[in-house]
Amino acid sequence: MNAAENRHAVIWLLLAQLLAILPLVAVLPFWIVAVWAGAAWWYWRIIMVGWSFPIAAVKGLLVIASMVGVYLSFASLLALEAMVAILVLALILKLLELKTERDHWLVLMLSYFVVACGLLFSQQIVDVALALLQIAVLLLAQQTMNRDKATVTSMLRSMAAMALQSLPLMLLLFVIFPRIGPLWTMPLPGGQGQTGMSDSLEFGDIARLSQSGELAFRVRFDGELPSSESLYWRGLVLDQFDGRRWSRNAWPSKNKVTPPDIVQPAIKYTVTLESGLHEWLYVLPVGKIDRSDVYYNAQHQWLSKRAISGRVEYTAASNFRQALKDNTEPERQNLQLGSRSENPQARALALQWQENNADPAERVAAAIHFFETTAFEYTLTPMVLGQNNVDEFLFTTRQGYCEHFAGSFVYLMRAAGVPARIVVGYQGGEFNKRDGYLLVHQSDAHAWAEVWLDGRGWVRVDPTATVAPSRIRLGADALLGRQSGYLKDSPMSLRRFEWATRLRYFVDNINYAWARWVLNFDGDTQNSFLRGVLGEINPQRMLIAVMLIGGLPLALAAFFSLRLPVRQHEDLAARYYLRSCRALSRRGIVRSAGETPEDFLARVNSEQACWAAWLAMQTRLFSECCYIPQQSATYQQNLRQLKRFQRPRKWLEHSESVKGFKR
Amino acid sequence: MRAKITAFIRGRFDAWLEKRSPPCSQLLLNQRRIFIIPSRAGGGYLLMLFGLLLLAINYQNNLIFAITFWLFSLFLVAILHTYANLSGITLRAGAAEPVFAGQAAAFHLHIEPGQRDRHRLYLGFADQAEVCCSLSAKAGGSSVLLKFPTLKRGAMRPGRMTITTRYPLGILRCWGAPKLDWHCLVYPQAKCLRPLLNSAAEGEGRIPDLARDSDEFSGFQRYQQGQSPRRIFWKAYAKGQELQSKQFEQSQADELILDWDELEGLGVEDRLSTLCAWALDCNTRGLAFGLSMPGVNIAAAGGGDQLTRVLRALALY
Repeated sequence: MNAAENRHAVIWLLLAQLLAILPLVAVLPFWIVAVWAGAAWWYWRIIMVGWSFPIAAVKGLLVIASMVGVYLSFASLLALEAMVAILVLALILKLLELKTERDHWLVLMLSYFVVACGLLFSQQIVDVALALLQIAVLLLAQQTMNRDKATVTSMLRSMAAMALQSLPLMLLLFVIFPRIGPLWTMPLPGGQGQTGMSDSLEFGDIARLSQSGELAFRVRFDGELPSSESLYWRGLVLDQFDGRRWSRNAWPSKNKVTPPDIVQPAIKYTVTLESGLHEWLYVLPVGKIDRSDVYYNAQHQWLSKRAISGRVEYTAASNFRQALKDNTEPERQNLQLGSRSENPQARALALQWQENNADPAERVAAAIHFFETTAFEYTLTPMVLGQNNVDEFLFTTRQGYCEHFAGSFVYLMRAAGVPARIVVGYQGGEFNKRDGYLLVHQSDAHAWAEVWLDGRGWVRVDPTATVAPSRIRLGADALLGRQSGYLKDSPMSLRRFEWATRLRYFVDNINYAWARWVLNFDGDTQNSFLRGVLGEINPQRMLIAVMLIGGLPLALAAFFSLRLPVRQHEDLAARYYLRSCRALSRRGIVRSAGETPEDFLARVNSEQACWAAWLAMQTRLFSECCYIPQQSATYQQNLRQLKRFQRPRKWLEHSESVKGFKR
Repeated sequence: MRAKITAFIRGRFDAWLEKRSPPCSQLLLNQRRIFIIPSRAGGGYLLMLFGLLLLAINYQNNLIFAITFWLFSLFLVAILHTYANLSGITLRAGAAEPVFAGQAAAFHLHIEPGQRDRHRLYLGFADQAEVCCSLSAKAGGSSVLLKFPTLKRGAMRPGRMTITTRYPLGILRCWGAPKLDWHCLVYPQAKCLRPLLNSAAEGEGRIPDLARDSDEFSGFQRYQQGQSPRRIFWKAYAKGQELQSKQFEQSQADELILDWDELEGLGVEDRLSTLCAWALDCNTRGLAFGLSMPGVNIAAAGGGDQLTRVLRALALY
């Protein structure tokens, strides 16, 4: 088949291609759709009006132009998004030299690949439904090349049959295929347009994050849910300060230390981080994560050895009462204050505390007292602050979100000579009563402080709790629900409506099950699942499972699709008569080959007369059946009787039950 | 080197096939006669699946795993569906009209679809152009013409035919290579290398011509199939009577014997070709003619049957 001649196949191919590309628009620059439209239009003119294919120079120019376009859009050609963009562009530009059937196939196969690439960026249930649709259209496009009457219904029917038949095998492969680690490192999705905690902090950052209603992670506790006040999901420690921006230690892996031993009684829980690029994990301090690809460092943070993409699930054990002091002394950077000339008022205040209180703990108490007694306003929309931002916040505007309080507090403490640092993470969460797990949203993002007190280690101080205690006790939702900026970026968020909460919980249950059983089905889950199903994992049991789950459906499919043509016009009368003869042969009278029914009857009559009456009846019915039309009622009646008495014993029983009938 | 290997494999396969399925006039395609391997597109498909698997492993992406496994399972299931498109078809060898050497012989093939619809079956002789046909179970059997080139005169048997399908996904090639009991008579190529001379005693190169009406009209006879339509008495037919043909008394002198010995100096095939051309010529002129060859003597007669008889003798010489 010349692909160019088959217009039907071309329409399907273009449709499948468009559908494969379209969902990627969320990740790729929008002009790629324009490029597709141009190429498709050109190709359509080639097919319909007989335009010529572009010459080599034009094609070369197009390739160079699109490469430049990708570079300008992503500032790199090696990022994952850029690579996918290049793949998609190659797929599109292939249209301009789609001449043979081989090219047609190449486009189809590349489209499958592009569909799969789309799943690298997002893995919601919706994305899977979309991918299934894309693949279905691709399969239809593939079918149009191999059918004459390629109507959608007939193609859909055969595709649906095949899809259903292949489903058990797919599930089996999905469950038993060994989940090995990555073979080599790949560029990871950049997570464009995703909200989440960043690894540095400036005034206003967390307030901005709070405007997103997106889910950050879910937690399932083994025991009882701890109280909301104690749920400080500790993420990153920010101890570097340049006068304005707090950031983390540049070489976190330099001070890798052995993880702490958690003292019993510990709280055990499982955290599922939403998909994204995860460089650090959240635990309740002091916590220990049971996972091999993360490490613990001197700032008591859990960091991943290599950024983990996608959803991450881990189990952790924590004990709130344990102190964060096991490892190191505070470093010099925990007193670092940026340039000396900034925030003179705050420095003066801190110096005063330092002079009045010899004990650092008393200086901390003084600072807390300061926050308690001053009229601060806890708001999502604080004013923008200038050069001396701490001074302006503490003494002029007095409006701020948690990072303002935490940041100023740490600044004051450092100025007063107490080692201090900012910790970012999440606080609280929303409990899903239906299914018993905790939902932590981006709007629960929080920042607090830790100060070093000799003998007690790093002590958590949350100045926000002193200013707005209900923020900690009830959660951001309760306190900020009426503020205009809260969830501003998600105007349609169902969290605004009380009545929709139950529905939201329900949907979230599904999403949670999806994440837990599909997206996070890794080696460990696989092991425990197989152990649960098979009891123990050994080759024999695996083989049996494969045969049962994989082989049986295939065998059934084979049986139904391949059954050989049955003998349509089989003579039923002959079959029943022959059965009667076989029944007799078990009783010692065998009809020889070539003996006619009448001859056989005569022989039976002379040899074993007891069966003769029965055989006479069967013979009569059979020979009548041979000579009357099959549609007639008599034929059907004869046939029924022939079948009913095909064994002599049946006839005996019957004749004995009929009164007056003597053998 | 590659061509050599391919030829070797193909030779072995053909020999094996020869043993496995000898020629027969009718056969049912079943698991003993159907072969199935991935097509080239199928190779590409598997390669693409391998790429997807690598993508899934390296990104630890379960959804890509699922898609990969699903597409792979589809590949396995497609084996059944592709096979089912061939299995249960009955092929029956039909007749083939005799042709002249150099023309393509056309063999009739009757296909019974059985109880399933059949999609895009490609039929043809090995290395020859293929015919594509689709059948529906309701409409029942169908007949296709398969072309096979002829080179030599004589009784000809075509090679193996192939019946191929790639339905439904095109990733598998399923084929049967039955050898049906076909034969076709191939007449010599008509090449007039010498002018046709009357072999009668007159010795002059005079070809009796109907137009000259030299023969004596002798009466009418009921028309019989095979007689030259030129002799039909159309006037009577127009009056509503049955077809009648005019009969002429032919003189012995006008009787033509196409003689092998007159073609001295020519090779065997050239002689046969020339005799063939002469016979055709005589037939178009409506002459009665006979044939004289070593071992073959056909008395003079006219009409289509005579031509067939003569051409057959020439073909099988």
